Parts: sequence; structure tokens; C-alpha cells
Amino acid sequence: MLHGGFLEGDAVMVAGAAGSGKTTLALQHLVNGATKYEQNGVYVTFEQLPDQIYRDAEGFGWDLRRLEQEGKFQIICTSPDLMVNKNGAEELLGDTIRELRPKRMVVDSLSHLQMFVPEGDVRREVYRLVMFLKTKGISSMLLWENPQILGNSYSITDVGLSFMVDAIVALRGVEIESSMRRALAILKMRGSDHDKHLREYEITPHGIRVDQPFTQYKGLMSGSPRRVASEKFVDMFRSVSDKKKSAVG
Amino acid sequence: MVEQTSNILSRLLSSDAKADLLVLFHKNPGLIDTIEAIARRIGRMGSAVEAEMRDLVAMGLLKVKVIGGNMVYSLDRSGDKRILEEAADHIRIVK
Amino acid sequence: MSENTTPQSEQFFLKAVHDSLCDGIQNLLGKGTLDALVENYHLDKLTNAPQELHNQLSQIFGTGAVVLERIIVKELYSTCDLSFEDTQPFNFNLSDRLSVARRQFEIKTVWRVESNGGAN
Repeated sequence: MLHGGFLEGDAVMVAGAAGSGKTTLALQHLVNGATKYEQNGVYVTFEQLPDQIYRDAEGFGWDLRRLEQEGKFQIICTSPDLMVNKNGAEELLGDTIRELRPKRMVVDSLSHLQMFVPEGDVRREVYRLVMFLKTKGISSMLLWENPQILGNSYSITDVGLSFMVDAIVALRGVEIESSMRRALAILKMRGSDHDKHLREYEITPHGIRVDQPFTQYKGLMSGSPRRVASEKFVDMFRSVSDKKKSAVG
Repeated sequence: MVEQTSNILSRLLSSDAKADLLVLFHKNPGLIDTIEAIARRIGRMGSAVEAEMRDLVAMGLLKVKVIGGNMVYSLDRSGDKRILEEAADHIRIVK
Repeated sequence: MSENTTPQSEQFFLKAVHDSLCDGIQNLLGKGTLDALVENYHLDKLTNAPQELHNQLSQIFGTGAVVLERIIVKELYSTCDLSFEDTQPFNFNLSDRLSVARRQFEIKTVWRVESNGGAN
């Protein structure tokens, strides 16, 4: 979908409701970086304790503690109000960045940061964090909890952060024929082409798996999906209709 | 040396609060936070763990820095490793 | 073993005690100390003899043994998905706490079996 992956140094926002798989996707991004591409990673969490993340990751077969021991990965758990201080990011992350030299970092989540920042200052604080990571040469993945699980409206953030990031991945639940399915879309990717389709994804025992596009449905983002007649069915219908017309004519 | 390490073990096991703090940091080595936030994680008040935190810093297991006017504590991984190895060696020798 | 306990649940509980002993020691004092205690004192073999375990820990750690035992019991409660309550903090007794944990685990196991319509 990304035609080669995210660009190095980019800030990527992953937006989705609770339970949509943001954390799983983010961990998978870091594990892949550390195990396949020799890119060390750091996971910054404001709510979940590292112990809980280690355990959740084990469920997908990812041994984060071993990666930490090998110096390829680290989890930092702290409070959002410490991060939003003037040199908060440098003070909290500086030592880890110097020791580990990560190329990837996840911040879980911007929604937590927002709770500790006056309403008018959210953009400035996020901008400060994004620029700090860019100057360190770190590709960041910033998680945003979108409260909208279903329904006919879809906004990425309610504080206008979309323009600050280089790419936006949206995760959304869709109801199709009385069952809940999951849809993933790349809403923005600066400087690179990308797949524009809405694709189904699954959370499997080995992580997130992206499947085929929802070609048989339209209106998924509106919250009112409708089945689209397949081209083959349209052709068959047209050919039967044409035959009837010529029989009558 | 034996007496010194024996004192270290006594200090590590001097209170339930200190034990809870050690377990918290050993399970979550990337935890960096204020006393109040750390105390909340183990179901205690900041004032109840302040003395224990200072002792763990004095022993070299935790380190402290100031961020935005807040005293922030984290695990000193090399100090923690050194002290626990001493404790393990002591147990082997004393046997 | 009470009449409500099946061999499987008893086995699970004993394994939980063993794992909690090892995890508790490792989480508090590190892997090196755990290895030293297992090699030199065979503490992992005392999971079914709480009084002897307490005596050994007291011999090694003195008054600090009770602190370690409380951590072990907390790990056990977590493993068995029970709620740990710090009752009688000044009068902690390892044997008593393990007995209480065992009873609570049995009750929970029986309740679970009955909720599932007797399926085990």
C-alpha cells in the first residue's frame, strides 16, 4: 500500500478508535524495524506499563525483552506532563536516543498529551515533539485515539494536527451485513504515491495483516456501506437486457 | 565485604514499600516518572515512598534528574545490575 | 487437598506457587540471586513445604525474608487471577497466606466449573 514503505524521517499519524489495533500496528512496525531492517526502535507510552506491553507482545510472538537485551529496542513509560515541558522530550528521551540510536519511535499517544496541554497549545506541543524527532533523524509513528468507532462522520483529529504529519493511516471499524469488519486507509502520504483503496485488515495471532480492498462496497467511510454490483454482473445484466430488446425489436 | 553485602541485602529488604518499588522498576525498567506517579502505580501515596526512593538512589539502584522543576526517577541499569550481582555472589559465598 | 479440588487444579496451583517463588525472587533480587538460591539451597523444591521454605529464607535473609515472602504471595495471587489484600501487614505468615490463596483458588475453580455447566 505504501509503495516501498514510509519515507525515512517522516512523521506518521495512526488514527483509530480504541481496540482498532493502533498499538499492535505500532509494535509490529518497531519489531519489523529491529529484526528485519536493523533499525532500532523506541516505544514511548504514557498509560500502559512496559510489563503489560511485553506480555501483550508475547501473544503475537514478539519477544520485546530479548530485543531490549540485544540493544535493539526500548520501552519508555512516563507522564505526558513531563513530555510537554520546554525541554521535556530531550530530557526524557535524550539518553535513550544517544545509547540506542533508534531510527524508529512510537509515541502512544498524542491523545494523552492533549489532556495535559491547554487547548490552544496542542498544535505547538505536537509540532515541538515532531521537529525534535526529525532533527534526531528518527521516523516517528504518533498514535491518535479517534473516539468515532462507527457512524457517518470521520475526522482525524479535532485539533487540526493532520497538516503537521507527513502521512496518515486511518483504522476504522465498518459494519457490513451485520458483522464488524476492519478497514485501513492511507489518507495522506507526502512526497510519495500510495494505494488509495480502503483495505480490510485483520489482527491475527502474528500481528496485523492487510487484505484485499473492499471493492464490493462503497460508502464505507460514510458509515452506510452499500454493495456494489460487480462488473461481471453488470455485463451479464446488460447482455440479457440487450438480447431482450433485440427479440422485441 | 561480606558484611557490606549483607547490609545491602538488609537494605533491599527493609520494607514492603521498597520491595514494591524494586519489583515495579525491575518489571518496567523504562519507567521514568515523579514520586507521586510512581507511588500511584504501586497503590501508595508519594509521601509513603519518598524515603525509600531516596534510599534506592543513595544505593545506586535508581537515578534522579530534574525535568521542568519535577524530580524524576528512573532505574540506573548499570547500578542495579552491579548491586544485584553482588547480592547473588554473597549468597553463593555465605553457603 | 480438599474434596473440591481436582488433580488438575491442584497441579496448577502447585505450579503457580513454584513459578511465583521464582518470579518473586527474580523480580525483587534479580536472576543471579534466583539461580544462587536454586543451586545452593534448592528452594524451588520447597513449594509444597511452606514452613520449611520460610525457615530457609529466614536463615538466608533474616527479617527481610517476610518482605520477600509477601512479594511471592502477591505474584501467586496475580498468577491465579485472585485479588490480593494486604491484611495483617504486621503479622504476615507465609503458610497461612498460601493456605488462604489455595482456598480462594479452589472456590474460584469450583465456581468456574459450575458456571460452565459442569464442564472441566
